[in-house]
Amino acid sequence: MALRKVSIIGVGCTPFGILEGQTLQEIATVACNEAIKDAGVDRKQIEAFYVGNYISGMLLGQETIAPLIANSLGLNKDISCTKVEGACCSSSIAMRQGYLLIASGVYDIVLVAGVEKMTSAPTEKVTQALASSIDIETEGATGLTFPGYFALMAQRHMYEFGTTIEQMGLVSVKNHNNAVVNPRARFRDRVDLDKVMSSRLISDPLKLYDCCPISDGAAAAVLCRADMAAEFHNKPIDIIGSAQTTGYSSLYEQVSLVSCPSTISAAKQAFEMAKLTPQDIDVVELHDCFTPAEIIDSEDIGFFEKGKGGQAVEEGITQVDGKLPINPSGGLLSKGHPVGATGLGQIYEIVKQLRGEHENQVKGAEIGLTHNAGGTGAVCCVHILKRR
Amino acid sequence: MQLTAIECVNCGKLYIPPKYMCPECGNSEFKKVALSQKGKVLTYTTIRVPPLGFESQAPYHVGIVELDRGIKLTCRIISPGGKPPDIGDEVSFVKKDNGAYWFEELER
Repeated sequence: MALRKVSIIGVGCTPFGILEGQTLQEIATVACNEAIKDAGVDRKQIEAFYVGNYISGMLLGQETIAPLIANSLGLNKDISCTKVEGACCSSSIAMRQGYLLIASGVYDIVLVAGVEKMTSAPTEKVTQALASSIDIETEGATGLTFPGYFALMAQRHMYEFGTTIEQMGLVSVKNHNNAVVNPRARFRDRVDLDKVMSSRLISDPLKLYDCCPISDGAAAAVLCRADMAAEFHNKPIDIIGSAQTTGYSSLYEQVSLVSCPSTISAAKQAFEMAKLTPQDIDVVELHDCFTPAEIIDSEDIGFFEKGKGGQAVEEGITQVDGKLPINPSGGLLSKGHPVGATGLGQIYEIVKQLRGEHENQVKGAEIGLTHNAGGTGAVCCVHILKRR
Repeated sequence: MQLTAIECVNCGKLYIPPKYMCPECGNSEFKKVALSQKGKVLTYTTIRVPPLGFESQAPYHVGIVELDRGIKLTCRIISPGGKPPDIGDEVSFVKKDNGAYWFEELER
């Protein structure tokens, strides 16, 4: 079956951070409404709604959120509204579901969103909820956490390739400095390497500033059949690559401890679909939940040779004015990581870059890539977007 | 306590239990195999911010060790004097407790 082309005609995103006094339903409504207004569609034209969310059941006791948000928005009652879950990759899955249903000819206009409300729960509870995507029958029983998971990979990466703690720290410095001008970012203060290196240990060798902050937030996009897109928005952004693949639910089952197989396969599929190579990408938002993740992801996607990701950061290649800007929004490390909303938050940032409207604009960006991983890399989505 | 793995009777692939069928070949019959008690540390970390239920144990070491025939396992590591283990260190199986495997580091 030939797939139809699909475009993004509207985006919305709340600030990521501590949204005190605002409920899950409220922030999801705000982001969706912004996307609908940005798209210039009537909400009654929306034919399906997909929302990504990871832990609102565990933290808030609120499930079945798709109809909840749809009713808040006043969407039609004769459409399907569905929640999807894939840990921190949840809203990229929502994005891909919307994409597939338009590409396959089922619908013309679909609303996709992601939402998470995390900061009202105590840290231990959030840590436990996040760790629920690690197989509880094996690895989870050891008391391994997510910082722990990435620390295990970081130690091995340092051992095999000579990657340094300072190189990882420089990822944090870069992403914090990128977020200074981003009004949606949770942390907007500049930091230097000393500040990162002297922060307290969380899971050796990772320190506080190597870890992304839990956050509240919501993001949304309106997707539309490409040949209709110009009727709604004067700068439609085309989805030219979309992939979702599967990895493992525990690290020890992976053959390699220094890469993520689902990232490798998702990137490969997305590049093949877009008929592009990593060298064609102008701007990237990737899943820097912890500093070593940015280094490892940038290698697995194919931007740098395995083992050279740390060096690339040190050489400034991934700075906003470098050859390959990575996370000009501040990334998960500074914009924040409201887990179920993060994927569409990345899509929001790339759409703004490709429209030429970003606060931390990459000059002349035409093609952008998002990479969003869920759990222990058990799920991964890669999307490639292009301006017309 | 003996450290055991399960081996697929069809394709011979070795797994740490539980496995409910062999994801490699699709067979669902396994036999138990005794492993050597010794392993080698491939990577490790010290968890200082624990999840709910592990607060009283922190800080604690978690690592991935390599066992017989290259099989890997994520486990807790007890090291002498609480000093963190190192990649390449030898460890010996101690117990399985609440689903978690525990290894002890041999004196360096």
